[in-house]
Amino acid sequence: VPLEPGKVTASYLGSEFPIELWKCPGCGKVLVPESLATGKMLQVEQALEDK
Amino acid sequence: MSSLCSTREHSAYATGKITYEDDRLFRPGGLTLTARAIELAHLAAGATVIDVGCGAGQSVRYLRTLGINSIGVDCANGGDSASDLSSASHTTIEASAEDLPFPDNFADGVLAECSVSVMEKQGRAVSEFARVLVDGGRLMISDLYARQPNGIAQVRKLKNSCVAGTIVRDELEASLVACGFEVNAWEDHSKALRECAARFILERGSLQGMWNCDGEASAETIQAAMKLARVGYFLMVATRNRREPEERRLQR
Repeated sequence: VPLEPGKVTASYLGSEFPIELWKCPGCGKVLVPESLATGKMLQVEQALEDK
Repeated sequence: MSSLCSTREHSAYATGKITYEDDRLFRPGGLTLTARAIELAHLAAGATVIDVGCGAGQSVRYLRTLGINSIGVDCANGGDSASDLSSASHTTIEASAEDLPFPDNFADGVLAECSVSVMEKQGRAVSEFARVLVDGGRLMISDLYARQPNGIAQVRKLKNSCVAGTIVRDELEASLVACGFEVNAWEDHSKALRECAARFILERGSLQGMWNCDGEASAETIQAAMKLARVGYFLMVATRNRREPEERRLQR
């Protein structure tokens, strides 16, 4: 089944963010590319940490 | 998010660093925080509220849905001139916070959302808020503040950055008391600031551009200074007391 772009909601440390990602129209699973996980998402994690 | 400044040239909107479409990205807490301010200030339909540093006017429009007579002031909004003050149709006026185009005892409330920190003369602005408020009028400020005031020196070195004017609670409260205000509430909303930063990263790819309106410091330098001062976000409500406290009168 080809993946389709779609709005998903990412949750982290009690905060939710809408983000556009590729997801499977069949099972609803979302593809998080490694570049996103180690790039923007890492920065978001660091921004949300309260040290 | 406001674009308050002493001169139009310094405004982030006027220089094109921020567009009015970006407003939601620079608005910690969104209208939820505005609603909280109105709740804490006990303001209701029929009240007159000046939104100082209204930016794109989102709060002005929101307050009108509550029946509040809201007027936005910003130094670069292309709004009406002060001479239009008597018009019932105006919503925003182009003016400086340090020289508000309103008579004394004009408003029931003054709202300053993320705008005091970008004013060049914060003390002068607070004095203007006191002047235009009626006796018992409410001042509502939400803005950046140093949760670790010992680290504020590094933040203040960031010339022309939006965060250079980060507020120190003790300093602001002293300034308010000197102008006849009594602080009624102070709430920490630092989570809203962190979420704002996270949203910015998701949309723009990094924090570059979020804090350095006109400045040259890198996002990393700004973030490091902000970490030292543990820059967070607050909401405060104070009441303007024009009458002298009774105990002071009795001391004479």
